[in-house]
Amino acid sequence: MSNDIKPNSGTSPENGKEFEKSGEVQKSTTGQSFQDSSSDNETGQEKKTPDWLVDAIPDEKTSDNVAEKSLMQDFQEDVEESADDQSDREVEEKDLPEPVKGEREEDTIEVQAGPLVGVEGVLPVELDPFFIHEPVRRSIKLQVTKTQETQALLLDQMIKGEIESQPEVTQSKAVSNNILRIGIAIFLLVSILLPLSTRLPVTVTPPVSRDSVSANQLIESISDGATVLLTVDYEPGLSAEMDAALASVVDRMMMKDFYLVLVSTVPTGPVQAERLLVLLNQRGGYQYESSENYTNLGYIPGGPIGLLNFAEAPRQVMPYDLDGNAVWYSPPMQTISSISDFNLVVVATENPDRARSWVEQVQPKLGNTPIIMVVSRQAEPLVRPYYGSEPSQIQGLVSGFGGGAFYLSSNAQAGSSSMYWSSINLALIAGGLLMLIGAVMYTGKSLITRKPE
Amino acid sequence: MSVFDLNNLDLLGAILSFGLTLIILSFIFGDNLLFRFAIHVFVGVTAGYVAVMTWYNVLLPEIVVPLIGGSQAERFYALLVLVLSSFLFIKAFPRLSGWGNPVVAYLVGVGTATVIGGAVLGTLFPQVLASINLFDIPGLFEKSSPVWMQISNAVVILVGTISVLIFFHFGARSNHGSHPERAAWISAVACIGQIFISITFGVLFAGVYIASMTAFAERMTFTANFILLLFRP
Repeated sequence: MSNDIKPNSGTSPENGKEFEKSGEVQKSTTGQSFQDSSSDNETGQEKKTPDWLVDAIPDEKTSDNVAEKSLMQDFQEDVEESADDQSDREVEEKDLPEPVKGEREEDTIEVQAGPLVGVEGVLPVELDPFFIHEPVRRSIKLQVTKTQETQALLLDQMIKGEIESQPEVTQSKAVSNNILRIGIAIFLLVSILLPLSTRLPVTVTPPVSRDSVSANQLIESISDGATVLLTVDYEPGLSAEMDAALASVVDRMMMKDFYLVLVSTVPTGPVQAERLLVLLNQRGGYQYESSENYTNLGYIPGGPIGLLNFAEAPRQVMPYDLDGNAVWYSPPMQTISSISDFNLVVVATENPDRARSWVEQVQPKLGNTPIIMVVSRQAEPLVRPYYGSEPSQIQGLVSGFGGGAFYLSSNAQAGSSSMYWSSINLALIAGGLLMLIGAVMYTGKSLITRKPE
Repeated sequence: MSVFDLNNLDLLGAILSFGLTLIILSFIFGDNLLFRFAIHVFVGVTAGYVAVMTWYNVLLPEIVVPLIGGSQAERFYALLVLVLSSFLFIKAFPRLSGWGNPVVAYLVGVGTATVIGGAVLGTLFPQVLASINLFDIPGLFEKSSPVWMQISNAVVILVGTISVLIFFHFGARSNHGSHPERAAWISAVACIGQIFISITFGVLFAGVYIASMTAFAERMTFTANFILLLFRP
């Protein structure tokens, strides 16, 4: 029970008169009112007890605790009811004795704990003299250092700048960008289509690529009918460059009647490989058939882990071909029990990470079997160290369209690499020219618009 | 060759390819509905193809076939793989995701070990050895290229390697409470390293540019040839 209130009013027979007037305990406020009501005798009090309080009078037969509890509940309910009844309260104000009238509101409190929580106008038990003191005087002036003041000023200025609306210039910029974009596209389009339409070779032969020469020499040194592991590890998005570069190498291998075992660590790789072989069959007049001339083992899942697994146990990791046939018992594959049994490994990829995975996970297990990389020009700078190092980790490198074109020309053949060579060269020159013009323009513009400090 | 020489499937493929190429190129005029449609088609087709490929090339031969017709050992192995894969699958459900943690931990552990082992033994050691071999004096005279060229090549590689490594050294010291700064000689060498890095990025950009231009030229050539094919008798 909280000590914030004095719950004696409801149970005390002395203040029965006061209850009759007010009808609620909380409105018998000061000691003066108690003194007035204390003169009544017990008999008179019983008669004047209101009906609603009759039940609250303790029964002598019941125990003190039970009586007190039930009375407290009733007391609380009554207090809540009376707090809402404003009209009764106004009447009561008139009936109060003169000395009490001014004091009742000031001396009451709002109960913070106990069963009367939230009820206003309840008498406190006693005033605590320790809490009565003069209020502490605090300065309302903000105490900041000079630096803090400056920083606050700066922040204020910055925020002001953000709030202020800027004049819109985006519209004109967007229009000029569109025009620029379309203009550049037309310029590049013309530069590509011009050699095709006029059949005028801009550059007759691709530049000499020593890497392609060594790859060619390596392939030529391998006897006809050898078994070659061919990895088609590039995405369809870069198939234009990769197909052209790889086609020149695979075309030569098909001429030499190599048995090709196709794998890929890219899900779309197997179908890319099939497509390439169909293309070369049409172009070169070959009759390369699945299982007779080549086997497509499909997709090696698991990235570098899968690759390592395949390098260690190719038969167990890839037991079936794309059609679900068990292929390792067919005549050309019978002799292959480990990856070093292949006569050559050719990896075609546009991704330097995949190329690195092949070098790191597979090449150490190849033994004397050479490995050739056919890579995109974008991957070539990162793959070259493996080729150029001494001892070299890869034995041949055909890089991009140029490498493929040179490979074809060195074998006195013509293919897609030779076909597009002029167009690509002119487009590269045109693109380079555009970049140069752009750089000069923007440098000039920035020099002109630069404000003197 | 005219359009009538193509069989139905080839013709359909060529028309689709031609149409999609034009739709993708329409991005020149800004983002549009057709471009977005083509992108959705590509994403959908790729996802569908990968799902089919995974089923036929991985799940079927690695789990289903051994479970149905494999030996006792093969069945046990396939069952183990299936259970562990299921644990990985239920990571999609937040309440049960904890079951998949051991499998993920195993995959990450094995993957990391494989990659680090491969990088150290397959790239780091061989490349360090190759860099040392560049200064193998007796070996220089055995090669066909001039010795001075080989030595200058070796020096450039050595300077490039060291300066780039130093560029990524971010240690600094504070003298008498002043702002911490790199040592002067480290800053100077790091500048050289920065030049090498810039050249490398330039070369990489050139490679990407050539690859992109090749793809563009191939598509344009195909488009032009297809249009010519339509008008050829």
